[in-house]
Amino acid sequence: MARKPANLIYGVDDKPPFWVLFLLGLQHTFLMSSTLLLPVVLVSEIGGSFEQVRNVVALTMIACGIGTILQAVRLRGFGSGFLCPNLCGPNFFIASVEAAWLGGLPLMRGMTIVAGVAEAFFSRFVNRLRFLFPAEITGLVVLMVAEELVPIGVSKVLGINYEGEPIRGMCVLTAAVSLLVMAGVTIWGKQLRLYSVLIGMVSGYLLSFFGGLLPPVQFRQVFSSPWMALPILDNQFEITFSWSLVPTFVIVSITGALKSVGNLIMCEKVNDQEWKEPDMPRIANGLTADSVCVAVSGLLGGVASDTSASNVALSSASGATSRVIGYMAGTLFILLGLFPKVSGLLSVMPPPVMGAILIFVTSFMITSGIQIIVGSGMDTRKTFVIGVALIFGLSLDMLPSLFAGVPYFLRPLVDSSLTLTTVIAVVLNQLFRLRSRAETT
Amino acid sequence: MNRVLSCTLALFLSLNGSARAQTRDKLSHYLYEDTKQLVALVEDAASLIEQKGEAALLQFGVKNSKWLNDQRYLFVYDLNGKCVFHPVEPQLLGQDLIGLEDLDGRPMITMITDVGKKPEADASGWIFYLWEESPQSRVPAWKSSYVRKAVAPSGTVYLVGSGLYNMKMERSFLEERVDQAADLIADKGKQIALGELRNRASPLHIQNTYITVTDRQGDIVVDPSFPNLLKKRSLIAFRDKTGRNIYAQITKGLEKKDRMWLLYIWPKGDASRLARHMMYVRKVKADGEVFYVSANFVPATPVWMKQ
Repeated sequence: MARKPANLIYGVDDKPPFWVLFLLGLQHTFLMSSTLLLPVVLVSEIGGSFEQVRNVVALTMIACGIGTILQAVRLRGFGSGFLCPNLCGPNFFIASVEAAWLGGLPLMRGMTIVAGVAEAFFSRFVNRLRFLFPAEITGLVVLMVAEELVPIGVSKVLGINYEGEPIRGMCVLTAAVSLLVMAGVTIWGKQLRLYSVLIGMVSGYLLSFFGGLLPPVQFRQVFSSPWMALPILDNQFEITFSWSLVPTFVIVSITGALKSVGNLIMCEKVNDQEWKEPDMPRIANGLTADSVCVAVSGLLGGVASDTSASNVALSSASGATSRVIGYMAGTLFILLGLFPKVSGLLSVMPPPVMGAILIFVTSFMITSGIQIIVGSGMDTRKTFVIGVALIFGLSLDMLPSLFAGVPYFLRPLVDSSLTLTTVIAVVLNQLFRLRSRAETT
Repeated sequence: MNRVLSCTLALFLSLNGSARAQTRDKLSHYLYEDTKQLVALVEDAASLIEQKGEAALLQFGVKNSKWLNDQRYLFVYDLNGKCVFHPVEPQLLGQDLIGLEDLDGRPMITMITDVGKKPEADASGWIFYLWEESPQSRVPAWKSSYVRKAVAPSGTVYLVGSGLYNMKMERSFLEERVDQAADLIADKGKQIALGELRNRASPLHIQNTYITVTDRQGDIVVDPSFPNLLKKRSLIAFRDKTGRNIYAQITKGLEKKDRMWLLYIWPKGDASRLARHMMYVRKVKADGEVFYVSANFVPATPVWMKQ
């Protein structure tokens, strides 16, 4: 039986009062919006119109909302019962862009469904793979999930989108103020820390507004959108598949599942003061809910979704991990998807505000990962498992050109530092256990 | 509610000042922040010349100022190509440089003075040429410069500009060049125009982007890779990695209009990754024939996006 940590204001099974619940749900929806620029970029990549962008953003929001609700339920074999919201998944992005290039939105939709099915299969086996993921490796997965958010977080803080661009002072100032407000409210805010991100965001939006970081052209697009509309695309029900993309999407799906494993472990740890090891059946149920959400994203026509590490970190920072917040956040996100003016406003979140939020939540994830690793009781074997995996994983991000010559069939392994680190750690862990197993037998 | 939103927008616009809003609208043609900052710098410099005349040049020479620092410097020429201001190459000052050419033979200073020949008092334009990255390196690199005409209170016309090395390609750069090439074919006819376009020194070939001309039969009549090839190559069978026939897309897309943007997927660099190539195409008629003038480029990828 999990023991609720003293620092939590609302634990996983608590029910906050309605208005508190509403504000907390709203706060999570803002954070879930932080990756809505991905569908914007994706549809722009294939030359889509503003209308198409708006519809794909809305459909992505609806799918994420459904996923957030499904994750919060706790049924037999389905749903983790944690507040672990879904957002548009960055790890699916490159594969989705490739599919959209090759066959437009119908192929992206079809391949997203394939990814959902692959994750559903993986979720059924993950329980048996428990021996592969001892605490130190799950901690490493959490750490690397956080590390993957660093490039987008820092580039948004500095106001740099493309290589060679100068640092924008106003962006740095806005991000610094937003981040300090969030951190200050979290450290000294007592009950106010429930709304730390919301308060930081409001200050960031105000500074952006007066500092000229919200271009009028974006406002005009938002204001010209209807108040309420059903997001429907021209070829809404057209779905195609391509065998050539199956390996890529299966790998990306498993990477996404690993990330979700890390997120769900973080949920367990945040909610249990005496957490020692992952509850794999519960995690498997969470992955099943996540796989349904991915498939729903594909069926609806949105960009693939994924569980959000930053939202889990936010729940930890704010001290509110109630799964009822998940129901509220999911419902709000679905409703917001039906209001183009509001979803439009969310998708034009000023970059420094987005960056500040990402840095804020990533800080929590990094320390969580380190805590899980250190808490597992480090020894020489674990030192090499973690150290070697981390060195090669980070080298992929620091010196990507070194891996340019990797044979094509091994490419998925070096597509993400999270995948590379996890695979190396799992392999080394099994290798270093051979001797002790032999001695036991 | 709509009124509240409109008032908020109006307040926002007035707070930001109409002049700044105008500049911002002008900059909205560009995607990249470094392009926008360069244009804003030159526009500010031109305004200063228009207000203070030659006295502005003194300010442009102040080291570690917004006009002159490690990243930026301004240059100023008169309408005849005489260098009036150049803080990095002071030996150029006072020289008539109208005949100066880059490594390929591009008439750089003529390209600058051509901006001054435009009728508008605030005419501006982009020029692309090879110039050494620093006086010490002596190695030429692609430089993209924004040039603006400025009329001083004395009535003297100056051409003020500033540039960046190996700059990211903006869509508007390509549109302008392809449109100029199409106009050249329409104005001068097939023989002369195609000859000029095959010339490597043509100002219309910018950075690593080249003008290609295809005829109605799909034969590439201006082929940047093999300008002197006797048997012309054909575009008819070219399909991108998604299997789309590019030539068919061009002919279909330009049935009822004379310009289009086209996207196709093709490997880039080490060929291990597919990349999005953007192609701008113009249809033009000359000597009773139809030609498709095009150029393409690979747009930059955001820093946070893994390649």
